Amino acid sequence: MKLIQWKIDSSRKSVRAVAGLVIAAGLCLGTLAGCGNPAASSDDTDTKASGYWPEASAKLDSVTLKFWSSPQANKIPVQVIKDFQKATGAKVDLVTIPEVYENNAQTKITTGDTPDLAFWQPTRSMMTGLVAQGKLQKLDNAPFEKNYKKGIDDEAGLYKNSRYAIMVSAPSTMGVYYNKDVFKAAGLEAVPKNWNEFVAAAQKIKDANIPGVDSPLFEMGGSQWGTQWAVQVQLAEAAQGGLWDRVNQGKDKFTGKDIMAAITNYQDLFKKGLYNADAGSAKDTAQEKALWDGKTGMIFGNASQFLAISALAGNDKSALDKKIGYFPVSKDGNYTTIIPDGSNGVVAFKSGDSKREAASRQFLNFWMTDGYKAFIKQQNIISVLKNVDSPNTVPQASLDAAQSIQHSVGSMQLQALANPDLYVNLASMVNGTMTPEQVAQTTQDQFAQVAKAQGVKGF
Amino acid sequence: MSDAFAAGPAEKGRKRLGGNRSIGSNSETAVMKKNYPLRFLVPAGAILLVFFFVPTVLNFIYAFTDWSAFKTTISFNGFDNFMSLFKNGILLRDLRTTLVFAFFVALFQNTFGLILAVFLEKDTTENRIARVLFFIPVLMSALAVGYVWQAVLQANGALDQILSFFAGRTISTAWLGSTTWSIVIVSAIQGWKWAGLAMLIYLSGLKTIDEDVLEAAEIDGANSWQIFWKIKFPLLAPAVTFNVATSLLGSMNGFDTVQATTAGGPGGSTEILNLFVWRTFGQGLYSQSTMMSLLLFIVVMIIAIPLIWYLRRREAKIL
Repeated sequence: MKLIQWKIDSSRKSVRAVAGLVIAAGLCLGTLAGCGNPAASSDDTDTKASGYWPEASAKLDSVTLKFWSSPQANKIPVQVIKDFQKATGAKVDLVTIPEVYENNAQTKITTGDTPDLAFWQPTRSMMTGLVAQGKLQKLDNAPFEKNYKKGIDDEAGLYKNSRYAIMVSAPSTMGVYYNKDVFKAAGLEAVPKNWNEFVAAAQKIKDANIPGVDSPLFEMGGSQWGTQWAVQVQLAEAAQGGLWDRVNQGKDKFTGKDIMAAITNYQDLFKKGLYNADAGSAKDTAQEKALWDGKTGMIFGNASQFLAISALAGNDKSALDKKIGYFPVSKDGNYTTIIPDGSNGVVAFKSGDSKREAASRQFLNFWMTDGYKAFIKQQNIISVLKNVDSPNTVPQASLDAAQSIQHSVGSMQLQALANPDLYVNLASMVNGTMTPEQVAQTTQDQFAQVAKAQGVKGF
Repeated sequence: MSDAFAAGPAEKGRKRLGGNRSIGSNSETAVMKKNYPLRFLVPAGAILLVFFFVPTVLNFIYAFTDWSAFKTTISFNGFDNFMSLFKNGILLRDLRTTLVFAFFVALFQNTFGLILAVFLEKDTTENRIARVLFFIPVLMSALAVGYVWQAVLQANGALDQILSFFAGRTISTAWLGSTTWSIVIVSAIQGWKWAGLAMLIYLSGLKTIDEDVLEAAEIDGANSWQIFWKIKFPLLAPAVTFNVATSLLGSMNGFDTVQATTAGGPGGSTEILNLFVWRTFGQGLYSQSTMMSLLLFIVVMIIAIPLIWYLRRREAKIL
């Protein structure tokens, strides 16, 4: 009988316990408004302190670092990781985060899963959130900083005058990659020097009706991301004149004169029939192949597209130099628009473990000093450091793209305070489901939402 | 016997506590209490609380805050997120796309499932093997399914090559390139993936139909068409309820298959709401995406309650 009594009592107790839990949860939620964002802290680190940047090859036994990469970039750090492990005894685990890298990484970070190091687009718009949440280590006063070539780290990697990303390769540029054979067949002798000449060149290729050339231009509306290049290159002069500053203050908009004209000009290229028939659904890989195979004359591209073309050419410098060229283009001239991409910059996270945080900085130091020569040789890319020569096997188009950085302007990603999904909306326009006005308005709405969330005046 | 034994002291216990209900029901409750004490619910209850109840409530709360990647504090901002979302046309477009997607998935999944169940009803060896084969897509990763179909349906993909072979000329159609039909094709892929599950449930429904009823119908001269539509199909009502409700409401929460096949394209024509939620989350606008999932929750509830009520009533009428 006592047993029964106990059971009844205990079942009441469990009811009370459950009720207690519910109330506790409710109380916790009720006080939420007063709670801080669970993912935030402030930073007053002294990056000049001695030992903040450890010696590149100092011993680091029993330290394991986690390095995140996108699927496109996950081969890039393999060599430098191997060399670092050999030199220091540390272990670096390379983890690939699936597409879309930025979105998935952001989700993981918000829910408390952070790496020690990660490839990250070293632009203001993409670093804002991570810096605001206090996730990133400050990387000022690095021992290799003075060695950077002109233009490499002026804007990229900085957020409010503090460095949060190390530039490991030359920032990607938006420009036009063209097929030299197609140009020759169309009778084009010089590369276009501004937007109008570019359009005329495309028209000339079309009119030449060259066998095997399906369209003068090729768009990857299926992969979406490349649709923004054609619009952004046209904004170089306006950006020079402070366009993005005005957009950031709410004084100009995506629906304003400059950006609207760029979107409409882009649409005109489709109206003139200069693009491929499957522009709405074609993938980036199809675009790269079309240029290499000479099925198209020109594509708007960045460094990653050229890397893919190089791979199609078996990384054969002479074959690439013979066939593929690069020229920058802007509305009235030849400005290159800089868009550092997710493989140009590396960020280091605050893990709370000072040993691992220091080891992360050491890894970056190693990358840019002892490990840099082997890294660029294996990657066959241009050196960003004055004291390390580029390999002589780098294709001419890459050299031209890097050279053009000296006459360049920052992209939307670099100068605007947010990176709205302009490319998604442009892809909709390519598919005919949005008008240029809707593209501009939708992009502006999203931009305003992010600006407001950042607490910017005027939004 | 053990029941009677256990009931004895329990009755007294209840009486001592002041129970004044009839002895029968008293002893029944006591036995139930003894065999299934409430504290057995604690582990499941705790899991439900932590992983379901709290997140759902948080979803309601965060939707009305300014939680984002850019601030170190969270404070309430009333209906701000709600208003800014409705000003943006994308939300309504994506909600509509979600409903279209859910409708077609339910249609395809149930049609495929029912046809398979009817054809594979007899327990022969061939049918058993076929059932397993048709169930495999259910077990496959939705992303893998999506990527496979994306490869099959792309321009010059496997389907085009097969068609070219039979047509004797090159066919190069991007099957997922149409802004009108892609949503239907993507729904069909999702329906194909889950048809095996619908098949299994319809099969179990068919198995519960009394042989005598079917035999009587046959003796009365009903042909197989009549037997199916007049007897079997109405008696499948509980299976229909379950299958229609789960496929319709489940696909409103879809994400993976669509992401892998079209990523919302072409031109946003297959962007179901969860893709937009994820895109917004990636921008660091956490509270806006929470608001969107709250809206989706409400829409699902608005559809679920009358739908399930109707299907249950239909069952009650038939059975």
